Amino acid sequence: MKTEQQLDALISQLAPEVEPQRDLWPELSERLVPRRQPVYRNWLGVAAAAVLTFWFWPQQPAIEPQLSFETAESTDDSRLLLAVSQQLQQQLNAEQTRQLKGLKQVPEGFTDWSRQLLIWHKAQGQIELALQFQPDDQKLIQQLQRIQQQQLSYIAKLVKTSELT
Amino acid sequence: MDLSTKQQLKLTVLALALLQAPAWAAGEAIDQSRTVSATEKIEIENMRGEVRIVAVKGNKFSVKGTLDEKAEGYELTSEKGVTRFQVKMPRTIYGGWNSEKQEGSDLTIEVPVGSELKFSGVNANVSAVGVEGGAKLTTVNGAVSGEKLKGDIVLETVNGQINSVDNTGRLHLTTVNGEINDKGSSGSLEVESVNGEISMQSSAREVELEVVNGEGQLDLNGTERLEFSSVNGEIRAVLKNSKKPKVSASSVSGASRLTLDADVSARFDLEASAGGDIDNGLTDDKPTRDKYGPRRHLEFRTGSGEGNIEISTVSGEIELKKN
Repeated sequence: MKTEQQLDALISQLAPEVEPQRDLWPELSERLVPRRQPVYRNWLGVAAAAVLTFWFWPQQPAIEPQLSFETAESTDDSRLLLAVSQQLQQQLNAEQTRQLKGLKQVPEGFTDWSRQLLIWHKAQGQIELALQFQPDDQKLIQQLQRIQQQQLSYIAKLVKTSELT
Repeated sequence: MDLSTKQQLKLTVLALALLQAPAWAAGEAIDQSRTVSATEKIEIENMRGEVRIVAVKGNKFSVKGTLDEKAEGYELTSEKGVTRFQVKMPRTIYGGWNSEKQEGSDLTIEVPVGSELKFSGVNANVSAVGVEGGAKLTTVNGAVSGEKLKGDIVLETVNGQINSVDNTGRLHLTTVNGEINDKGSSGSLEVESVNGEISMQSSAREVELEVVNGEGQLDLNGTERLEFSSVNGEIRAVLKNSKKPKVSASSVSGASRLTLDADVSARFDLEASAGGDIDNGLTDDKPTRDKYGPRRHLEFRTGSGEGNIEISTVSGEIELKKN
């Protein structure tokens, strides 16, 4: 049986940290698939259907919606992120549906609204991908919130402009 | 009553109705004035056309010009420090609001310098000069222009250009598709656009800018706090005479380009989360890349690090340069 000194000597010969022999990131990044497919990946289709379906629905006052966060008690980053994302998603869907219900016509300046939503949609996808690697990055979470707030604001303006013109 | 008497009665009623027709019938001229307080609240509503609002010395409100040809008259009231002028329009205009741009009122309105102004229109261009009690000018399809305004200032349109010249106070400029040009503003400045281009030459102490696809060129002098964000757009900010600025910027796939004084004193924290680039032309510090992820990061300090510069992007570009 080896003595404790011999074991220590063997341990000291080991590398201080285990590293891959080559950079694995390029291969990994090509194979990456988002782990969680957000519900709003299909939002454009839903929004288009909503516009057609609710075209002549009774108008509702266009108000500037605000996203709000409840304070998460958990300190677990992934749980916090999941809670925030779900909360945002629910509010976004509810607000967009509510706002679009009031739409009578697509006003001047908003005819490419679906393209505009697609731009936000793609941006959200990029942020979500980044969040998978840095799930506790508050800046990314704030960016996600800002983008969703922008969408709500845009739709609120679309509805308000439709009412005015 | 025989038939001829009935006809005569109808004609008489018709004639009386015509005689009662208001002098301000559609397209007619208007020339009205009221004595108001020096700090009067002025509320103007004109759906279509051109409206020029000018602040003048003296406690007078006046409106001159011609009314919208489809107007159903106007209302002008003045009581308890509030003067309201409204060009009354039919509830529905056939052909919509987006008909001929030449249509609508053509008005010049004078208000006291110290008045607080509120204007709303739809297919209207509006300009205001010299109002010092605050101004809120909103339209939908049309240009908004404010010059030498003071106080809380809101210039807002959806499809149209915003021109802001030599305004002082708390400015809020908003458009969806139009351009925003601000020159000579001071105080604090908040600018929002979805698709529009933004040009700014300002000495405002605090500046906030938010665009989605639009581009921004900010030439700032002495600005102490600057925040800007974009989704796809490109924002170039040149900051002069600001030795310890606080800057916070972010983009998703857009570009944030910041030029600072060579002797700036600040802590820098730059981050590209997923594939973005960081180009540091301010010092020799280079960004590092996470060993097992796409993130790039750069932290450094210049001078004694009094200011604070935080810029992040997901897959866009961050560029630092010196003046």
